[in-house]
Amino acid sequence: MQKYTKYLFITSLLLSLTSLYIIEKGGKEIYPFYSWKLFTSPSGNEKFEEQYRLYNIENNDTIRVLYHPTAIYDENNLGLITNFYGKKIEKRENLEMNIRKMKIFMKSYNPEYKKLILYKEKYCPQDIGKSSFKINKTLITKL
Amino acid sequence: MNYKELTVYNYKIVYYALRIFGLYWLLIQYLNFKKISEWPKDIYEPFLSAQRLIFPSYPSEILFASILVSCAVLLVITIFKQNYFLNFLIFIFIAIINLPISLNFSVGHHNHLIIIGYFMSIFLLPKNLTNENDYKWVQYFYLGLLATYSMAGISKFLGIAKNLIKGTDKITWLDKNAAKINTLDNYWMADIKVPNWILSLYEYENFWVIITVFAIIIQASSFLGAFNRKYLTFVMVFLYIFHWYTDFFVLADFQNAKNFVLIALFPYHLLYPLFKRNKLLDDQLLK
Repeated sequence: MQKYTKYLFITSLLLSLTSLYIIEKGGKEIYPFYSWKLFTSPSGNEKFEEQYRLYNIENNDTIRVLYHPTAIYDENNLGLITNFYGKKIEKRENLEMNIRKMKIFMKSYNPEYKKLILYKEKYCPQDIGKSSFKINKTLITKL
Repeated sequence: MNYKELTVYNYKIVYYALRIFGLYWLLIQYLNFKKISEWPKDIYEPFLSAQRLIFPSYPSEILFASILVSCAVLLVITIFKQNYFLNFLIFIFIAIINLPISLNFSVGHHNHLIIIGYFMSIFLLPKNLTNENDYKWVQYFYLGLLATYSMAGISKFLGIAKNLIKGTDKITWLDKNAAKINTLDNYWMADIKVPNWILSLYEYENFWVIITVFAIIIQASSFLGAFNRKYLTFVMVFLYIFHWYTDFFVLADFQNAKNFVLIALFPYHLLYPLFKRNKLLDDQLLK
């Protein structure tokens, strides 16, 4: 039966390539045969990049919610989840539900954050670390 | 041993190593599972809609632990009783176990190599690899693993070509500081300060252009390792360092994939003189 390994290889390759094609068309991969189009260009390759960030109002100041690792979330989790719901909220996709989920998520991260505002931040990755670096914020909504 | 013999010999050891590694991997998945279990129940977002068929909500500890234990039992059984169908089940279990861990909110690639490893080894039982020409099927096993890296490497070349031809102002891997911006952007999004030792390494701007191009070439050509043992060992070392790099420099943790690379591609035949002294191991593996 070992000769069938050849067909496993062909299957895996074809499904990975099909995944790639489907993703280009806006679909999702054929699990578990992922596409392997990773880091085709460096992260931050665009002139401007965008991310969704939460701010919290504390004593009339709007403070950017920073990601600190906790017992249950690491920095990547925090960024990923914020961006996930941030995007849905901006697109007004199941708006109420996604706002509720974002609040539940933030409560589990830090219950102190009670007056949250969602912004979309635009920045130039090539300026990170330079004095010219600046963030352009667009208000999406209060949560 | 000639190339054909040692290729089969190496796979026979990989077969057992995959089972031991599998038990370790299951343990790590349990720990990951426990951590995500602490997240509020409402924020479960399966990446694929089909995931809801298997796990309509984030799995309970009983359910997930049962799946882990079943998989562990199969891994242990197949150490003593080699069987195609059980191998297939192991592959299915591993793919299912990975769902709530890596496909929540987005699609994480860090366990893909492991899933593919169990997939490619379904039809390879040491007891049936008796013919000298069986090395060909082991080559397909390696090819299955390495093709993923080659595709990732080739897509980088295509990315470069596309941006050069279209004349976009995007940064490609050929640009000076491409690797540095890649690092800075990933650290920026995670709110982590880039360590000084990383910044000082990036001061060698021209060196990084060379090393980036070199790395993409090795990554794209890694499938050739399936046909040449020395190159395979080289690719193994390269991929290990590459995963180490992405972990520190891009915050992409491929810890298990990194270990899997060592286990699956290791030149065990170099240790053959050691094994030979141990009669039991030798009988088990070579006969």
